[in-house]
Amino acid sequence: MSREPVVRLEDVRFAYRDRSVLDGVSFEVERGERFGLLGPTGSGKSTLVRLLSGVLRPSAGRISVGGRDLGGYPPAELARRVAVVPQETALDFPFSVLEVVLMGRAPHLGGFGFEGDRDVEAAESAMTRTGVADLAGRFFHELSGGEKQRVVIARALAQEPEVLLLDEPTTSLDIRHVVEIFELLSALSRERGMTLVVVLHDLNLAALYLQRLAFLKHGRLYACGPPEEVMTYRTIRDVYETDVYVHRNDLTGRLNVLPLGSVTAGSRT
Amino acid sequence: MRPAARQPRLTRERARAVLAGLAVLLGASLVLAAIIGGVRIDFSRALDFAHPDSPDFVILFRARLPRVLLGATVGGGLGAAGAALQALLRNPLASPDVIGISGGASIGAILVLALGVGGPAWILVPAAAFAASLATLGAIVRLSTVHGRLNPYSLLLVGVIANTIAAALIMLVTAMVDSLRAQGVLVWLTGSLAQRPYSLVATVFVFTVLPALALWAQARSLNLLALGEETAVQLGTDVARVRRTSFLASALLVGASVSVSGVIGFVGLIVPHCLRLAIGSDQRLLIPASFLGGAVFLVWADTVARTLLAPTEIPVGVLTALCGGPFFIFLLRRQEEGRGI
Repeated sequence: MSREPVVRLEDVRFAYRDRSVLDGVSFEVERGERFGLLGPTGSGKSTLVRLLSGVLRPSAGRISVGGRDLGGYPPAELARRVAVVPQETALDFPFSVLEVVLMGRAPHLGGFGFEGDRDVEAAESAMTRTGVADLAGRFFHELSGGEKQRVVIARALAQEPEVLLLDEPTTSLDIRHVVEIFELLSALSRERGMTLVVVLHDLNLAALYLQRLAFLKHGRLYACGPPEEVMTYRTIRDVYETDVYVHRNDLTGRLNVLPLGSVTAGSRT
Repeated sequence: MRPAARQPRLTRERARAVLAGLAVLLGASLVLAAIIGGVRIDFSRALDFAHPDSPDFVILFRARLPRVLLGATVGGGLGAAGAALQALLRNPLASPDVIGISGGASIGAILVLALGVGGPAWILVPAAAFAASLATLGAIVRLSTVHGRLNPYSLLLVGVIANTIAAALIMLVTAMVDSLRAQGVLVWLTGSLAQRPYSLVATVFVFTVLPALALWAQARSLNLLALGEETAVQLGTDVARVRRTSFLASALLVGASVSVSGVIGFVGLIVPHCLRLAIGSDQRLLIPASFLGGAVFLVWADTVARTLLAPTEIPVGVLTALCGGPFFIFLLRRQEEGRGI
């Protein structure tokens, strides 16, 4: 892996009207890295995704992708570099799975074009990679949650981005589909050197699949580093204001985090 | 086992085939509808251009043909506006009349008609209708936006209220003017395509085709809006520009149709909805198909309206509302029960 930052944030600030959400956040994500954004609800994670994908602009500070300031990107060009997988996708109209995946080709097409062979190829290969090729003719709104999310990932892959932003991509899925999605994402990052930036609530998944984690609290970066270094009792207690037990899992060799609830108080006294 | 989507994707070839088919259907409908009527005409005399004073010639070319052409134009505009508004507002139940834009536009037109504002009516009525439809659309969108998101149910409710207010204002205006003018307003209000000169048909045609083309040009962006505004931006769409252009074009379409034919309801709801079931949701085909389909629909609705109880005419707006109202309720039930969108 080259040690070259593909995403760089320098002292990024953002406020919705006068409510400050991000208060001077700086970090870098290297090319091909699997990077996690963690922190309690309201800590600014999703706002970061919106900033990185050009939906919002920072009130102050600098965000660059591929060495170029985000403000200098025409929308379609940014969409060819950065793709987003949201938590859930609800379609208002009956579109087929292939149509939804082809929408990922939008930033590559002209104003009013029909998709060409190259676009259909990109969509079909993305669908094959995420295992939804046989769903091509089905209606998107009739799929299960896990199938939908794999279709949406295929749509993001059809964009052929360098960076994939995922905003809690597995929150509404059961454990089997969660593992399926994360195995797929890890494989994509290894095969294609694709950079992943994942917003997550689940600390165990973060420790299992991601290489570096950033903990946000009240719009500030609290800690940033590999799980081994930052996923400690102290960090998690400070960031989430919850007592946990952090231990190494014998089978995976990764860290596990368990909530302790009020049991600790009882056992200590 | 659930049914698969009919066609996995829209190709240029399929779009061309569908539009060619609908264009042929429209052409045939125009000819047939001009022939059909309460009075039987003799074609050798009707098509005798050397004697343009014969009753048959006058009926065909002065009464029926402009009416049929106007029906096609107005129906096309309403169909295209309905398809675009449904995509823009992310609501399959949206249509110009349901969400109150037509009602709003009619206030503008009626003020000019009833108060007899000085100046040429052919331009003042459309201008007033357009301004009022744009203002109503803006107000409706603003009022049904909660925390930066357009709420589909608020939209329908606000539309109902907008229609009620419009109806009340219209009654107020008709109560204030003399009975002759009030009668004129009432006739216009029920939605009629009768007795419009070619010059007016041509004007309406221009102000219908241009905004409809503008909507068509936004088709791919309107597709992306179905994924949500944020995702559309993340796919490289300038959402603000798309919304501005499409709202403006839709308001123009509604203004043009209302100013010439009053409120003809439910065309913009029924036509895009049925077409979506048949040809899919892709706006690149749905918008032009809704234009052609709306044109065919209104030409035939008007033909039924003028022949069913001939020589008495049913106002075509009354007819479409009688068909469309139950259809709307059926769609609402279907959506509430979660059976498809």
